[in-house]
Amino acid sequence: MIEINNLSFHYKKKSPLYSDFSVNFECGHIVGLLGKNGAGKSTLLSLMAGLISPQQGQISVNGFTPFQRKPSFLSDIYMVPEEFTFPSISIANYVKAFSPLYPMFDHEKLEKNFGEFELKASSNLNQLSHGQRKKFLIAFALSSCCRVLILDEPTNGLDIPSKSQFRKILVSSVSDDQLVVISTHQVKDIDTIIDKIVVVDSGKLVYEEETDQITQKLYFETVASLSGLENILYQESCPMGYRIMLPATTEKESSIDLELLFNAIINKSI
Amino acid sequence: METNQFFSLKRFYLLLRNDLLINYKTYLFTLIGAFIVGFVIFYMNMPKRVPANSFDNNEYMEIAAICLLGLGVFIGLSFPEMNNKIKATNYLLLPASTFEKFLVQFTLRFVGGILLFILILWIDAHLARWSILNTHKGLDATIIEEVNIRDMFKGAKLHTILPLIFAILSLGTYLFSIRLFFKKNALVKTVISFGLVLYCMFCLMVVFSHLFYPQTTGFNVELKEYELTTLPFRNVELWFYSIMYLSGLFLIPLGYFKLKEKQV
Repeated sequence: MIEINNLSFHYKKKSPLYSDFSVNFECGHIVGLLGKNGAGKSTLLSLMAGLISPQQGQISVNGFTPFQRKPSFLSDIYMVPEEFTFPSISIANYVKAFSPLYPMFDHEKLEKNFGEFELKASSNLNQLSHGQRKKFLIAFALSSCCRVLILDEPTNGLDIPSKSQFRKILVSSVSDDQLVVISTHQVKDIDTIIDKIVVVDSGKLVYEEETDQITQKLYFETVASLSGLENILYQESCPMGYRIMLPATTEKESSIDLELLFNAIINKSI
Repeated sequence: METNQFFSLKRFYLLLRNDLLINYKTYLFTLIGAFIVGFVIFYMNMPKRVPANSFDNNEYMEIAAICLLGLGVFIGLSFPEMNNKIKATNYLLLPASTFEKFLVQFTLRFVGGILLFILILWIDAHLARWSILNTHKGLDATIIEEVNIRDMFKGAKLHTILPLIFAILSLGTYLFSIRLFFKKNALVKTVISFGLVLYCMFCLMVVFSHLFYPQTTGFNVELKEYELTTLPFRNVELWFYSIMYLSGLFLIPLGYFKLKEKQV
């Protein structure tokens, strides 16, 4: 669905951000694109959306070259950027103006998402708080039914209840023929919804694994003391003692501590 | 080439509708503002006492020429989303082809702008004349003539009128297309770039004058004018007319390709 081969990219008068970068994303996944600040996550999303053109390499999204920005490509991809502005109109007018441009737009799903997010169609977009506007944009993106959804830091600006609403709505809205790429550095916000993790660092793909594979390979636990423990791959101290990452055993399975895994990857512990 | 990926009437309509639904307040206030300013300019310039010189089509033409500045600003403010990176992102991701996006702006700003400009001036001219004749005693209808667009061009030869019209259209296409090369303060930068283009053309002519006419001194332009045998104008006029007629044909595709290659 998204194929990136031998990508090279740099901004004008800046050192290369990506060189010979390759990655593939298949439909039916919610991919967590993780990386430190400045790692190039947003740039990679912009390249996928066709907002910028790579200097070298090929990008294919749904069979299209993104930078050609063909209408069939644009009507099947929706990007929720980290920063956004809205015209000073009501939600209802915004939907009236933009939804017809997306042929598969689902108005019933939009109504449902509005209900979940407690949004009113009569509200003026510019009178909403940043978090409410973000919720509206996410609700609109999910209702567009585009096959590729790109969400750049979707949980930034959302309060705690909204973050859990976001996770619930995203999981229930996405179908098997859709691909969702979520870029974030707030890994805890998305750890329960992603089924594939991709970590980029210094323009390189440093980790790529599906979550069920991770739980088969790694075991995460919080312990009071490290004494008696062997084979610790990575550890961090916490108020309750230590968060540790061990090789998985056949007897027990754990949920992924995404933050710990991410730090381990960045610190080259795995 | 998949033609549907290039232009679809349905998508064009939806994009046009999208623009109007989003920007209707801006367009409405612009229309009202243009209407009021036009009326005030006509009203201020029309005679209000007798004896007075008659206010005829020449005066209407002069005022229309001044008001063209407003039209230039409206055209130069096309693609307003390109002023801002976030808005430009949203705009470029709208599901429509580059040609449709370009055509929507051209239709609204250029074609719509010109048609509404003529209509507003026509209404303003009539309204200002009617207001003055009904509020100022002693003035009769012959002192302020009724505006008549057809009479404005009566007696003028087509080969002198057409270049003038094309000169205005070419300037419009310059303001419309070249703004895509700039982000912030695009209109101001476009106007400055136009001045620079004119200055560069002048410098080039100075260089050519020195090359081909060695007697040229300093920063002067030497032109030898002569009548053309096959066309009803002089060589300098032909050069001027060629630029007026052809620059629009060059500037519109330039703007289109700039939009197509735009990166944010």
